[in-house]
Amino acid sequence: MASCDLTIELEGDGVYRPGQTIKGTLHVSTSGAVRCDSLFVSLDWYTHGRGNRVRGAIERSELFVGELTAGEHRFPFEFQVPATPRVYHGELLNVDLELTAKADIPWAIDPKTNAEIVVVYEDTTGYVVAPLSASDARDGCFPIAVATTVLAAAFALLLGIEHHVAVSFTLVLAVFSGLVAANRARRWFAAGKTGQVSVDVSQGGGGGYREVSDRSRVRCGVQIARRGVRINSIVAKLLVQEIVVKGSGTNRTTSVHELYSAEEPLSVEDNRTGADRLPLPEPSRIPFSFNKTDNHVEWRVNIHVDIEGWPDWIGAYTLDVTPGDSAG
Amino acid sequence: MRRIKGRGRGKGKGKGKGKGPGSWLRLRMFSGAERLRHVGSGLALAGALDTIDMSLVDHLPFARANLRWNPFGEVPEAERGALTVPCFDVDAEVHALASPGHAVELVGDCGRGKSMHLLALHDHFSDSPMTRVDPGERPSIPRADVVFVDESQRLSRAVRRRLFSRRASFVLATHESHAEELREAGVACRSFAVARTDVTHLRAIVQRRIEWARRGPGALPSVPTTLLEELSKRFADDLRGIEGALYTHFQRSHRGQL
Repeated sequence: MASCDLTIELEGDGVYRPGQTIKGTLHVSTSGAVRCDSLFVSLDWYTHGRGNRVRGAIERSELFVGELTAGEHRFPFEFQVPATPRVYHGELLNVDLELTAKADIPWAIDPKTNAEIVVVYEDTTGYVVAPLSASDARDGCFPIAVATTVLAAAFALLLGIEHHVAVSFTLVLAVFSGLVAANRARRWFAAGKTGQVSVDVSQGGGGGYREVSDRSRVRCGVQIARRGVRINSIVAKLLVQEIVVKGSGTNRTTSVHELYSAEEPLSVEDNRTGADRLPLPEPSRIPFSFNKTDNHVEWRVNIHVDIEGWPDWIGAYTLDVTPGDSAG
Repeated sequence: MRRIKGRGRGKGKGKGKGKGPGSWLRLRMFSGAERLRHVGSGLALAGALDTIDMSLVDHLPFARANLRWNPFGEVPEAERGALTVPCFDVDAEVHALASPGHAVELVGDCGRGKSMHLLALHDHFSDSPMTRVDPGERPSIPRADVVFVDESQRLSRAVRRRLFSRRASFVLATHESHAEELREAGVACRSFAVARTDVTHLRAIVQRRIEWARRGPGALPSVPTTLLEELSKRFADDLRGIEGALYTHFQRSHRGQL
């Protein structure tokens, strides 16, 4: 079998900025004729760190299909450096870019090579914040948990006379589901009291993408649907954290590293609305949102509504935060 | 110009040599202060750092230590077998497993390296399917000349009895030994307790991981014996715990926090 060597040659020093073009040549050296089902170069992102590694192709350039004759072959290629996903080096999570060249040769081990791409970014002057998802305080599991508790307790009473082992097991089940039900109950009653709670983290109302022109703060507004609810306080907490998962099955372990946290009491008006501006981190210090399997940089806002004489309403909102304009 | 060459089963570590003038700085020696900083951080550099592309050093973590990533981060499954420092003669076991009626069982608690050893053997039988048994699952184990099962203690005794009656060889990673059951089924079994606590073995594992993270030719950091002894004392045979501690240690070292 003829040998096949791949070499990536890059123009310049391999350090790029978003929007710039990566120009290079793939050199293929074969000692004899080689059939090649696919010869390609792809620009990939990949993660490394404490979590399971994942990777994906940003762009792929198919260079050749057919029979490579013996000798040296040159295949020029070019890619544009994308704005996202951004290269990031954190505590638990790292995101990098690389070029991968591979030749698909039938009935042989496919030759492959990689070249690291270094991307540097201009300082951004702001963020683009958009709501991604919300976990409402009302929880549909509450009635199920209550039903399980009642059924388990009734079952335990019915069996109690003759089957002591069964009754012990069922009582344990009843206690467990009772605890779950108590937690769900708090959320259920809170949501019942407040009605729909609308949270808007951006500038102005609505839920679309909005540029945050004030570089240091983002507006957080909370609107409670029901009137007549006595609110002691509404507190918003902005949290940025790396969340990674390693292993699989029972060996699955989640690690969290907090990058930024800011808690702010919102100004409450009419017992229905709360609003204020949450302090944002410096864009150069904190990464933007990143969401891939087992590897996340999560931006979230936790809202805590303290209701007088009633269980508190708690909600969490995940944000999609992307870079704003560049300083340079 | 940068050239990165790969051939055959190249792992793509970016091993390359500078071509253009000024793009690579060859034979860069650490200054006295820098050397002290690295030694003081617990990551001792064995010798001179050479062939480091200085344009990368400011932008990539660990580039100064000639590493591409933290060596104790999560390893992709396909590469785990090659990083195993086996506690037995792999070639001898591979030879025995090639004929049916043999079994290798790797016994130990969580995080001791059972699955890594399993993958190291699997690299020699890459056509054989591997089955991992998750809690509560009853997976169908495919027929093959060599059957690989991770967490085989989760299979019921009846399922194991049926499995061991097949005309095949077996590699099992398990918390509890099935040696008796295998012998009853007429399978020659070799049991290995994969847990190791000696510093020499630990050093070999650590060095292999650091080599895996190599950026280019030249010296690599090493972990001082005192630190390995401390970790061995603290975590005993819990390799996963040691890896976690070393991950944090390398993170702190490259951030200059140690």
